[in-house]
Amino acid sequence: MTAFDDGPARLSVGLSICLAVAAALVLPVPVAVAIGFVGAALLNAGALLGAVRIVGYGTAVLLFAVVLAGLQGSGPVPLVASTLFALLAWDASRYGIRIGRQLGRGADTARVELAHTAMSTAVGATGAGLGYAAYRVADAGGSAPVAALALLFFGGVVLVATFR
Amino acid sequence: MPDVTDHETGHWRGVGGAAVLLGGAAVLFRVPGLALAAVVAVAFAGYASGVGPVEAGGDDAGLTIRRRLSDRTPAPGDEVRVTVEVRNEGDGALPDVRVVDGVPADLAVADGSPRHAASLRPGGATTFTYAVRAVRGAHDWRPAAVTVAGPSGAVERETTVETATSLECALPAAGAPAVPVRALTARRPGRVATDSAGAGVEFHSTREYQPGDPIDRIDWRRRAKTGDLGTVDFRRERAATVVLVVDARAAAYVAPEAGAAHAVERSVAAANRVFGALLDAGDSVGIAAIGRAGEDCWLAPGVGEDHRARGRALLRTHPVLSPRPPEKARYDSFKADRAAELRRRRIDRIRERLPPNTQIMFFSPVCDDRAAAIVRRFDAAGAPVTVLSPDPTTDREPHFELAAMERADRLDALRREGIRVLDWDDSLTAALARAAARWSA
Repeated sequence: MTAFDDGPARLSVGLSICLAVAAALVLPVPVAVAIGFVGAALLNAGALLGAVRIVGYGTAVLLFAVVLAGLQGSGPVPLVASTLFALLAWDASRYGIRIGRQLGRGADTARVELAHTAMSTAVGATGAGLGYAAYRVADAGGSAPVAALALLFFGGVVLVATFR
Repeated sequence: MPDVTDHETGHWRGVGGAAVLLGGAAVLFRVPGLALAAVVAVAFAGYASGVGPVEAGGDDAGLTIRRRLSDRTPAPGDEVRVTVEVRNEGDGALPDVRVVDGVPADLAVADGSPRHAASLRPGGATTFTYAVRAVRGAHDWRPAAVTVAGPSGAVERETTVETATSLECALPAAGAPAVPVRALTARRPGRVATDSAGAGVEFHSTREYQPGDPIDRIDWRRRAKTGDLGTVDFRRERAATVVLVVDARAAAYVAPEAGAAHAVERSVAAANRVFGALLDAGDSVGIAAIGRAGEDCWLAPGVGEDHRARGRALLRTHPVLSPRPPEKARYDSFKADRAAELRRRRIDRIRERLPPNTQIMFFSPVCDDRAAAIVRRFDAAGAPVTVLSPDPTTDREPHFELAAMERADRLDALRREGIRVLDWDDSLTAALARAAARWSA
């Protein structure tokens, strides 16, 4: 008889490692990539150890790298992609930790893990796609894109607030 | 109605902060790309709060569970495969169903995992299997704990799903070969040859005829020779009254290695066989146990098929004989002299119940001095004791050998005091045969 192993579910941890590394790699600025790797390493360590807090720190560092890349003049697509990957990695690792605690590594959980990450990916990609489309429309109009996007962002926040 | 609780998991907590960080930086530094990145975070925040409480099929009758056992009445030690089917009978899809099956506490999972996760369409089902190792006793499955989460994982609903499943694990009905009992008998015909004269098969003596002697025992040769009537007496054969006492104290739950059958389990299995064998031989047999607090474990000596069934049921399921060790030794919380008094008293309680001319068969690993003290206390009360001792010791490591030596010394001391000791390692049958040869000589 084997002891109950409540370590993080393997598939989710694997997904989160790939996503975190991807989040760092897509940034076009070397300094941001370096900082992104630090964040990815933290996130992955947290995912492997089952430490939710460390996963959170790693994600924060990754997002900081995204802001830095933005300040260094990176285009919008890498920023959006990196943010999407970082948040998906965060989601996958936290989900893996939670499933692992509830069901253990011995249980067959691959399907729900895949389903969860697929659903999150769909939502994130839709959000990114809609945002990018709005950006292109605003850009084509020639008006101040940042103000338009800030409004868009504000609208999103209000939308979320009304949902709650 | 099972308990249902919904709770937020905080799975996406912090994503709003990410949105504010990215959006704030976008406005502050006038970087449009960062505002776009913030939109991603906002999308996730909306997902977390918008795809809200789990629609767990509307109500809790949504999920049903069915268990199939490969064998409902296995023998101890058998692996039983459990196949569990979880079905979504509700109208809504359940994207994330996590099940933890309620395996009975006494059964260890031998293979696979009793935990499973699946996505269930309306009407959809998922099955998973695992194996448990059967342990003596009656075991009921507890309700399965089910967690249903929404697609985002932000809210989870916890509930239980119940279906009655039970497993009855009985000791085999096979008896042991002849069990040597001591020459102390009750006034019933049986199989223990006594020194008193009467009816029987083995010649004992002849005596003067007395009116009323059975005609088939008249000594016709003497009648022919001398003309006197004489009567032949045979050795009278009588039944023994035996009480099997199982040592189920915390100290008796010892095994040579983790996962191996412990001495209580072996003692109970042996008692089960001896019980059957003695009943077959016509002896009157009772059962008692010394162990944890709680229910009294006592079956007065008796004969017959009903008695056999009662005895087997007691050995199978009595809580004092549970396969699981007690949490702590029973009298640990008492002062030493009080504990000693209570220990004496529980032996005396059994002694007081013994019918006259009863002998004791004591099943114990004898791995502590108290076991020997119990034997002596029965012996001192005039009940002849036979100790049947499963050997749980091992010589894998030096300090284990020491325990083995101490036990051997203890058993030798008992033997010197005239107590019969049957020490067996793996085969009770072989040990019984050896003992029968030794003790009848």
